[in-house]
Amino acid sequence: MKSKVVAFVSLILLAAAATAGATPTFPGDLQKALNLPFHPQCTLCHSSAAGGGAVVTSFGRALLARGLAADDTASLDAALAQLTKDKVNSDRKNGIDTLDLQNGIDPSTGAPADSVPSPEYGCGAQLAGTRSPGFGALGLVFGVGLLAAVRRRRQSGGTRP
Amino acid sequence: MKHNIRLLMTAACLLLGLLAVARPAQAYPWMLKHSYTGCAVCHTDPSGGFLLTPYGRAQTQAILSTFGRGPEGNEVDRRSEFGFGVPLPSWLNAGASAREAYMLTRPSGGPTMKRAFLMQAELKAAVTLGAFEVAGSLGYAPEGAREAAITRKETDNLVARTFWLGYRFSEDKNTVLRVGRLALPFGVRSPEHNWYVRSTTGTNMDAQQEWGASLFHQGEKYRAELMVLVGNYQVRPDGYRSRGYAGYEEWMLSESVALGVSSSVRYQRYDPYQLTDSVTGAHGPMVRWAVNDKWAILAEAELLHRTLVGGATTAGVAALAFADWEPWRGVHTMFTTEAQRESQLNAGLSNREWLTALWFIYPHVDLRVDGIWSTTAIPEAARMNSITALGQVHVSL
Repeated sequence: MKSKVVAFVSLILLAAAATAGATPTFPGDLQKALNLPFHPQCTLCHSSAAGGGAVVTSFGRALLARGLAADDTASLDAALAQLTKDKVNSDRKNGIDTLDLQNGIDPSTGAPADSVPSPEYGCGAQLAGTRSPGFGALGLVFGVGLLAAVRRRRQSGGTRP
Repeated sequence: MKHNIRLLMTAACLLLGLLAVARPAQAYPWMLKHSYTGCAVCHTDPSGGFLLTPYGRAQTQAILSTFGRGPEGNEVDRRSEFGFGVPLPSWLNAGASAREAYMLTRPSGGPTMKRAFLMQAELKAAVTLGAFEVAGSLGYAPEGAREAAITRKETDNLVARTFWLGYRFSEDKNTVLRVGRLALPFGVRSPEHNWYVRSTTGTNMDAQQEWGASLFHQGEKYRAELMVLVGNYQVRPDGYRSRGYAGYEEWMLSESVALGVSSSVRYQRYDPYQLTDSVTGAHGPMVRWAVNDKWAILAEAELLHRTLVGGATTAGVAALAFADWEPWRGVHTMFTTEAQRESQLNAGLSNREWLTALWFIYPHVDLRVDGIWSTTAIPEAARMNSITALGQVHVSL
């Protein structure tokens, strides 16, 4: 029995060692490549602020047409260079796409690209002057649960002989 | 008293400890063909999914798996229990899941993309103290699932998809109040998190759980759950949190047919498509039908709507039909067809067909292979067609 448990724990650890691609880094890579004064939104290319799924915007599709590949930062740099060389202007107004971005404009829509704060994920991040409710609320749930359980056991007289 | 407090603290620490070490839960709505009309008897989440109950674990050996039966056939031994029989105190339930996947995708006109990735690595635990229950999961997500993350990196995050404090109003689980981060009570509960009826309605079990309070109740011929959503506090700023309600009610028309309706309405300051104030909703029927002990059919359709505050209202639809055929015990062949038109301007019709083979080899181990044909409408552009092959190995404890 012990060996079976060890074997399955090993399997789980082995599976846990595998990792996957890094497409979620594209907004940061884009910011770095074009020296943008803001962290781009996932909606620059995707339909959802959380990213993922199909590339749906004109700017995003223009990058795909120039060799952008998932999980490949080098392909992003190359596609951006080609985009600039081709003078692509997705919204057909303002400047070319890369210049739009550097001016804080969404190259697909012509709208301000940095007017809405980017979403942040996880517990512990703090907005200026505020306290993250993440761990606080988590602690509240567990705390209330423990207190209620202690109280209930006390009321039911559940003591150890 | 001191001992009681120590016991409780030990239980809490053990739970948090288990959580601190390590994707979505399992739920099989086609179990209706084995006369399981509800979910609460086998799952810790009364609407399905999350940890298996001891009874649910026994069923993985008694009826679910091809191999690992007892010498007489259907009797249950300790192999179906946690860790193949690691003894746990009666107040503790624990489990672990790891799922490794290999995917090949070939978009029309493009090169084939190959990738191996860890779909799930998760520990789950539930502590029951009288009528109270504290439950939660903690896992590792190499990518994605950021809405469930408790760490703040772009990749390689710890995720807490589900956790709750629950109170049972009676000895059975017929009425349960829960607060925490919960899978939304909506539609057919199933592990296929990217089905349109799950992902587009924001109700899948991958990372779309929400913080809130829910009340579950079941009677002899019906079950229902209503949840008030207070927002996902693992996402900031507050404008990205959606608030509203989600709920379903399902009636057992007979032992083999269940008919239900679901409804959800939410407000969000930053609509994920338009980044402006919006009210979105989804409403529709679902049906589960056990044709016989080898065939089960599921179907769901949702009317979608999105109203931008001070702007237009757009409507859409998401629908699914699914058939499960189990020719031999533990071996499932599944056929799925689904379609959607999202509730946004210029949205087109997308559809997918799935052919799936799922083999529950032995208690704790199953293999799955999917072939998915997809044609996706992209606003203001041509359609994107693709063929995907996805293989998965799933090991649980």
